[in-house]
Amino acid sequence: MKRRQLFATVTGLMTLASLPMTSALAQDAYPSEPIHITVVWPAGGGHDLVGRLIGHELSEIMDTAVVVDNVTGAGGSTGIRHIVEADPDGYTIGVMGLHAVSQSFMNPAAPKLDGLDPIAYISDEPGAIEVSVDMGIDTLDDYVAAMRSDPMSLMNGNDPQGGNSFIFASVIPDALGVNMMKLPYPGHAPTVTALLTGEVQTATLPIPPILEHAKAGKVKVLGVASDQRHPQLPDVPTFKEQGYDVVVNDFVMLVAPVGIPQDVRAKLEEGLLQAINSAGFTSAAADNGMVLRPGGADLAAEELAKQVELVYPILEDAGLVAEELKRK
Amino acid sequence: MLLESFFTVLADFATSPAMLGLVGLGAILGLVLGAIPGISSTMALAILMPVTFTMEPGVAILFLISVFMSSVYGGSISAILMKLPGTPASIFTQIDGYPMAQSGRAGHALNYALVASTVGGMVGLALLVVLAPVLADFATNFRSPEFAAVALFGIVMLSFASNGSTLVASVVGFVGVLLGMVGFDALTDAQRMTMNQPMLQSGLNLIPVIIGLFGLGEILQNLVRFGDSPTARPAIGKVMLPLSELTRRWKVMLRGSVIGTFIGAIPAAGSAVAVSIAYAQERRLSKEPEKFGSGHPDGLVAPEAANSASVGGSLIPLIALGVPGDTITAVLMGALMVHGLTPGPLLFANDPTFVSWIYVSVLLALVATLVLGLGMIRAAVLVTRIPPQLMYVFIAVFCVIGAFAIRNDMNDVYVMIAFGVVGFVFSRIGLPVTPLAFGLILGPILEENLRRSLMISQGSWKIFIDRPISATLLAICVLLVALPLITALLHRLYGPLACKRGGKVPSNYPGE
Repeated sequence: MKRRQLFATVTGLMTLASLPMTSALAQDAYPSEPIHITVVWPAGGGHDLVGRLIGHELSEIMDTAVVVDNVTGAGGSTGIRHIVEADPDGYTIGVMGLHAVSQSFMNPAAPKLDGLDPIAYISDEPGAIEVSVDMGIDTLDDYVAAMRSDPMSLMNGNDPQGGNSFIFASVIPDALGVNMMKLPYPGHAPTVTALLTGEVQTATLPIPPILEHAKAGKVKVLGVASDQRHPQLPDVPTFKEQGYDVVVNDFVMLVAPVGIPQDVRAKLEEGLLQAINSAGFTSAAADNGMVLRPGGADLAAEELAKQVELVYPILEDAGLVAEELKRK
Repeated sequence: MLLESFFTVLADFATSPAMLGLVGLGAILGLVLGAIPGISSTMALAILMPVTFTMEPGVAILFLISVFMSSVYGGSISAILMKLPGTPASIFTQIDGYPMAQSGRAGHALNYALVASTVGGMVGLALLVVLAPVLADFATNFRSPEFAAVALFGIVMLSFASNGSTLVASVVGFVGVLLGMVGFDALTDAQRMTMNQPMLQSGLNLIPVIIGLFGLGEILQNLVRFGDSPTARPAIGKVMLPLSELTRRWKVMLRGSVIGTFIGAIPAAGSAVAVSIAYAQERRLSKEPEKFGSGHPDGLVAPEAANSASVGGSLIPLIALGVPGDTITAVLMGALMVHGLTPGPLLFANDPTFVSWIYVSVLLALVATLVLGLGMIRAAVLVTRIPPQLMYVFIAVFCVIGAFAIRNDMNDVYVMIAFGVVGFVFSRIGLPVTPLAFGLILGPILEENLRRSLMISQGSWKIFIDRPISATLLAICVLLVALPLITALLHRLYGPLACKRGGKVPSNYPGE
């Protein structure tokens, strides 16, 4: 088995060396070139994992090389711009989530969403609230009671403005009727660390980054803000079950630049749907804590429109919408 | 228990030809990539990371750590032979290494560097094994105020590591801190100093800045010098070095190693600070400081021991706290996370075998680097025969590729070129470049954690004094700043004896 690893390394290196040559091949039927999946966050994160897993499946389904490009920076805007400005030939697609919606309202220099063509929907990422087990809080009611008696006793760790756990930290306290002290961390990994070291007592992270810690009993998930319970945490009740009517989620979808020829777009959509529904992807994604809801371009477009309507008022309330991007 | 699993894993790895082959392959790739100017250890790791996706986590770690360790020595090869540090860790190696190569002792210089690297790496590993579990216990006490204090400590140390006027270094360092603010604010995602330009919104990434300052800046300088004199090609000279020459420098190696480990362990300080302090320290203690800079082996041995030791050091915060010690370990951490392993306070408790993998990997990588390094010295020396015109073209190409590759963003290439010009101008007018890079590294860490600490304490600065670790670090900072004043006072009271050990750094400090 270890010998096989060595072999895989050598073949991996050889593939790497031969990549530039494959693009020079004849350009007839799509796909005849490598497909590039843009990931707007650095290697190692959740979107990166999605990109690499989908890429792995897609390369077999479409019988072409698939390359993952991490085009990062500027809160994801650099990567989204890279997708929007790519040739609409079906060879550049990207992984996208809530952040791009936020950026399109907060950052006047960010690319507009109408430059993106949603191709396939992958998953919902329900909001949730987690508390350190040391706090001895077991239910949302306990949490609300503790927060009402001393709002500063439980500080919440979340993203900077615009990230999904910031949006969750805006929606959830409103529904619970409490004031939340929000401490920003640049990303999910540092937020998890802060929750584990006890710098913050609660967090509003989606499930994937804390799944292992929740299973290990270090972190208590008080509730999931979706209609159904989370498949990986069947014992955790939803907010609705506990009497608080709140449903909020991030999403993961695949987008392409607007203007891909119809036949190519149809082939791409079909290939991506196959990749998303493949056994390899679904099992890895579910293990990682993603809530899969595979769908084609129609579902993706519908969800994107829904998220725009959800996010805009939240950002406007927080005074984060840039002046020139305000709706009249 | 840890020791037991260490030996189990060692026996497992060392008896497997496939594993040894992989270590060898990693070491060769690391040596070659590290030796290519413009490809840092960070880039070598980033380039080879996708290769490991199909491997099992332990195997991937072994491979990546081999690349990491050997690229640190690889960087010294180009520093010694071409006066172009292949990695930031070798920015001090060239000062005495290059003159040695020029006087026909290239082989000796490479030997000194290789042996010092191996010794440094071993000491770093030993301290990693001993200290990391202890530090892991402190891990939960390491929060925002502590990180702010550590960053401040790094900034204070920086003013000691740089040559010449502390004031100039501080001002340049402050400019670096300001440059670190360009882009999106880490806590609010608000834009700062971006003028709404997409290019500036991405911020100034450290890698393109460093490649520009040190890589392209050096080429530009060489271009200016090009007309002056046709570079005479040095003789190759003897390659092997008598063992006694090496063993009598054990104290230098040990000192460099300890300095390297501890500085490497400070999050975000990294090997470049380690080598500068090790060099300055060794020159201070030397009986013949005037020979430093013209090919003194001690001036080569100390930073070489330090940079390899800092590898072990930088793994301490990674393993114990989940905080990368420098940009190299940041890439390594990314690779670990791809494999579903999150380094951090829980790692020791959850996965002690994995920690043994890391230790064993470092050990095997050191041995592989020593063996392969010795084998390739004779070939490496031939590089000095390549015409410089050709060499600079290669280097410039690598600078562009390296800057682009880090984020797949063309803007980073423009940033790299701009900082190449900055590096060139700075050297021409005699400003140190190193503080700029360090301001850029430490500034954002200090700012983010300082602001978050104050949010936690609701604006009270007492939070930094109430917490023992941050209070201790701040006290050390105050002491370091006050030390020169106290020394001066003693000097005045008791005569020059009290500060006879205060040495000066040589005039050919890099980037001066």
